[in-house]
Amino acid sequence: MEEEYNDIAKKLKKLNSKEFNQFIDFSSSALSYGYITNNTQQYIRNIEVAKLLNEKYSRSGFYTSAKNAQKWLYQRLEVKPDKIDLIFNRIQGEGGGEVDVLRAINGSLRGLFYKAEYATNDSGIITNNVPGIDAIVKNRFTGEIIERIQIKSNWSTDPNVLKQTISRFLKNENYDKNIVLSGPKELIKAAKEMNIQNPTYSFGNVNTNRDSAEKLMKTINNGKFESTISFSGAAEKVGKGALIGAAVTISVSAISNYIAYKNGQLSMNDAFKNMAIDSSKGAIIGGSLAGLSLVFPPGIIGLGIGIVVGSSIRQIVDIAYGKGEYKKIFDEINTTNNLSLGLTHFALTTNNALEMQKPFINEMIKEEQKAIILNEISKKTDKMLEDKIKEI
Amino acid sequence: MKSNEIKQKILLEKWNNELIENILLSNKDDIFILALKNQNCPVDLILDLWQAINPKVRYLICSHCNTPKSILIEISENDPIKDIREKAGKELIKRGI
Repeated sequence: MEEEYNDIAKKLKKLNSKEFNQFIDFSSSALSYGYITNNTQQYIRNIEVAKLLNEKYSRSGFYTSAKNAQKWLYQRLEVKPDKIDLIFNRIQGEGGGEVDVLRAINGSLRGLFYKAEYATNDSGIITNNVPGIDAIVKNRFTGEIIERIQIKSNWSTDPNVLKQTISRFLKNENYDKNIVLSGPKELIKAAKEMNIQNPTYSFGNVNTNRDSAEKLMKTINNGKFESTISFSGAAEKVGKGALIGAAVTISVSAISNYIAYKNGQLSMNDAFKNMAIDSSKGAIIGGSLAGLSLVFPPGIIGLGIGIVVGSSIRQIVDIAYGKGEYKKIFDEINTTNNLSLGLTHFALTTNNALEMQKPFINEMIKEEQKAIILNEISKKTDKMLEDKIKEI
Repeated sequence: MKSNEIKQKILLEKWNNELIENILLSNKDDIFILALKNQNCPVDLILDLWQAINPKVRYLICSHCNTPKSILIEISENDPIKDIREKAGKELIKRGI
């Protein structure tokens, strides 16, 4: 690792201050872009999960709002803390697993010609009364259904659990050999070992499913499991991304990519894309917290790249979540060179931009509230009309 | 599972996770009510129905002997319908809380 840093430092020394500033602009934009797109995607995905669950369990009422979902989880954990699997079954099995498979199909090249949809009953409602399937894939142009899919989202590697899942699939009264069995790779492997004749679609693995279930549970626990897009929520995600990308960390990969770009080994687009992918993988805010990250500046290696470990990074990352005091941290960093000042300025500007958005966000929240009230009024009117019709 | 099959299993008290899941996914008030009228309705189902849209379902939750105290407290404090809040309050008193 040290060798890698030294090598990068040597390369960076060859850049003049103008090139350095370009590097910062470039990499911070790419990292922000990666973080923002990934997190807004995650935000939208969670909304899709909440919407799906709210539709499936609409009469139970526990997913009608983020607050209700939070109360539901609180009571479940309070009364039955040992039954986490039941919670996972609800949020991942019936929610996240299905949403992710549909997003994967619709987001793939295949999605240009075919569209995956949730299976619905004759009234267009998503229920479990649709015989043996969770989703269908249609030809976008002809509307012809080309696949019917049963989606399983196991999070356990226990071979008995996997076999039980497959047995239930086979014993379903509406089973037929053309239904596509979709599931994590471990389940598909078990299905093949059991000589299942159905077509299969492998999606993720048990660990990614467990990870998704845990994240959804955390989102519910934090009272953020919204089933409608809120402008404040989206703006908040973007703001966080801008701060992280601009001010927090520049990874080794970002530097390597930039240098490769400078040396003509990579196109600008590819360098940008690589950095964005790197940040969207959570390399910055995820596991790397425990290890090393590069923070600009101050000067440990040559031109002013600081290696900040552990708590310092966490403090800075906390900024992005509104907990830290970024100004204090930047004051503590020795900002004597142009690079430092430029970066600090960028961070402050980004933060100021976010501050400026806040009055707008408040207005949007008011508009959202109005929309909710209008929706309620409309519902009441519908109910009154329905009652009147019954009286006729 | 079809509605009739679910109802039959409730009447026969064939309680298990699969039945609970099917009751919830039926998304039907009459099935919820039938389940909650059964004295052995498991707490796992109650934990998923105490915020039900239909007030009758929530009222039955208040009367059910398996309803956890924490849920009765929550309902007694926050249910939008006064009668239901009062019912939950009375149940808490009955239980000596």
